[in-house]
Amino acid sequence: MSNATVQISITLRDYLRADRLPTTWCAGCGLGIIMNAIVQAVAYRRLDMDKVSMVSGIGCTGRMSGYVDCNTVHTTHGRAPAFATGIKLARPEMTVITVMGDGDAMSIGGNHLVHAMRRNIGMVAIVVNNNVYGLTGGQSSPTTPVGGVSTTTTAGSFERPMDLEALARTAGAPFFARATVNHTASLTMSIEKALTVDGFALVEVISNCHVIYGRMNGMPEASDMIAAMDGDTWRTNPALLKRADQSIRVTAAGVETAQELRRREGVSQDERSGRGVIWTSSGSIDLSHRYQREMTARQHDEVAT
Amino acid sequence: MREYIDGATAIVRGALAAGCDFFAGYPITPASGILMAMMRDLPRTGGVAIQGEDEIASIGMCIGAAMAGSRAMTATSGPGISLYSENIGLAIMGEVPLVIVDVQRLGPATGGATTVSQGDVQFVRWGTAGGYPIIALCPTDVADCYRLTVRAFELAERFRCPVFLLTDKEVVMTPATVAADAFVPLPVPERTTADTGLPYEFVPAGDVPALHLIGDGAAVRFTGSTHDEGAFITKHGPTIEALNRHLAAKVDDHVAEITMMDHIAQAGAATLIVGYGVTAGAVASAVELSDSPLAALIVRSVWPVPEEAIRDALAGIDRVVVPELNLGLYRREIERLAGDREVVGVNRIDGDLISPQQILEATA
Repeated sequence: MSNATVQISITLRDYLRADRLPTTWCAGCGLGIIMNAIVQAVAYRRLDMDKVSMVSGIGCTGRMSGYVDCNTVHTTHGRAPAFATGIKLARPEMTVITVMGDGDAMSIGGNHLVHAMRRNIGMVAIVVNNNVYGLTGGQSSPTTPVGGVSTTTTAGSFERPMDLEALARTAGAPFFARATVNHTASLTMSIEKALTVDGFALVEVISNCHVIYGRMNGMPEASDMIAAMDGDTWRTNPALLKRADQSIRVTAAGVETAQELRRREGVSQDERSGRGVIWTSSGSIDLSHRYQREMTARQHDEVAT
Repeated sequence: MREYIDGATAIVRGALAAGCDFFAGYPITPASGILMAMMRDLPRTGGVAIQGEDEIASIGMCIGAAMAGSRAMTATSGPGISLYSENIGLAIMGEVPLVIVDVQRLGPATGGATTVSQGDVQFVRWGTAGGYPIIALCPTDVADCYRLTVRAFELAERFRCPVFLLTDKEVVMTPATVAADAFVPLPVPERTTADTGLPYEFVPAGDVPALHLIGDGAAVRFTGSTHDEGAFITKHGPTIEALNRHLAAKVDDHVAEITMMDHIAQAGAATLIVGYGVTAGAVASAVELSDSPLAALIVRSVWPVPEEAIRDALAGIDRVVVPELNLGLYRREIERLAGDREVVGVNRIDGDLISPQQILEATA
């Protein structure tokens, strides 16, 4: 256990394709905050961007791979975990990050997400949950709340929303974190922590689509939706204050326990109704290595003999 | 020295000979033999094999691995090609080398899992949105499975695109006696890579840029969206047109290079039999058994259609017979080349093979 802290300074432009900016995202969209958090986490982990692959699907979130200056693969809707699995098995030394929206990950790509977790393929999967299909015009998603108005549930959704954390537990993901775009320090820390996991790490990020979802649900401004993420802390959020105080900070990540993280960042454990959640199961091993070459062959030989 | 093996074994040997080091597939009769053999044999040679959660994931994993430097193959049957469809498009747009084996069975829907068919011959050609050309090779027997699998890898590397090995239940699942020298080592297909420059260069038109691989030096980009030569999404009309023409031209401008066919020319023959895949054996027998001279053409590269070679073979011919295990799907390609010549089909969709006698009846 180490308390060592390292001060490093990063310039976001070094991690983004600045010539592709501004993004296509609406003003105030949480995706910018999330992209920022991802590259910060990668920087804090001191990862070589040439050895990082970002795999995205389709949707507003899918566009992120166009802006981040690492290996990027912009694929088909919902299939990002499958492409990411192929990359990881072909190049186990690669840090693989998949970014998906809620419809991408939980609806059309639900099967791939479940099995990537079940296989425990080494990747960080970031699911941006904004409760709606934004890019296609505000249709309901698997996380649209009951009563939520969308262009396909104009009288309010009556379907039950999916609980990604419960899915992660059931499918066997060894790491799950939920953060919001209102808790940016926790968000960055969660992704940083996820990058240390030896196996599949799932990070759900509650984001805001005020332009489409918010307007239909009485929250037309980004600030309305961000306030709704945590009504108690939006004025007194300690993480936000900390971030303002200490905008560049990193622990020697990987040695900090989830308990310490919770204490320091005020993230609660296992509060299913709450927004901030993080847990890690012990003894996780990235099984992508088991598909590799000699190990599998040896296993077959042992069976044969 | 001879061996008694099936087409699945020959395809796996061909893949390994061609340097295949990644396989992902999902169980489906009659293609499961390839999956099982790959899961068993590929790790021994230093490769990776994985059983996907479905066909969509299987082809996705193959494309991801191919982007990261693997030589990838997947295998399925018609119902699986249905699920491959969207990612076939991604492989075309992303210019990813990939070999896709379609072991045809009788469809539609579940159809007949253990019933032979050639019902996918147009499906693989038009099996993804957008209407872009693909390459498909059609092995005639077990030994040909080996050669054409290697050739499929060569073409996938050469043109940075998905290449189909279009075969069927009978060729893949029925063991046959094969001379051991059918499996002579063949050169591992060359791969042209680069880690600088533009990943999607489409100038000059019709040429193919070197492959930029994830993990080889500088970061690279792939996308399934319309993009410029640097892989950045674009809505710029002239760039989009250049991209889309490039994707078509790199196949369409190289038909002669891709063409593989066996032409049995006979002096005085006025009738030409055109076959492909499993019907080739019956076609050859029909030529031997016929009292009058017959010409025959076995098309081993069914897509792109080898139009020039077919036109050449049509010289002096006034009647064309096209035996197929479908209702005449490839016959339409012959008809559009045949001019005023009579083109007749010999078609079976009952799960049995076409006999030489049936072909001879149609030539009369």
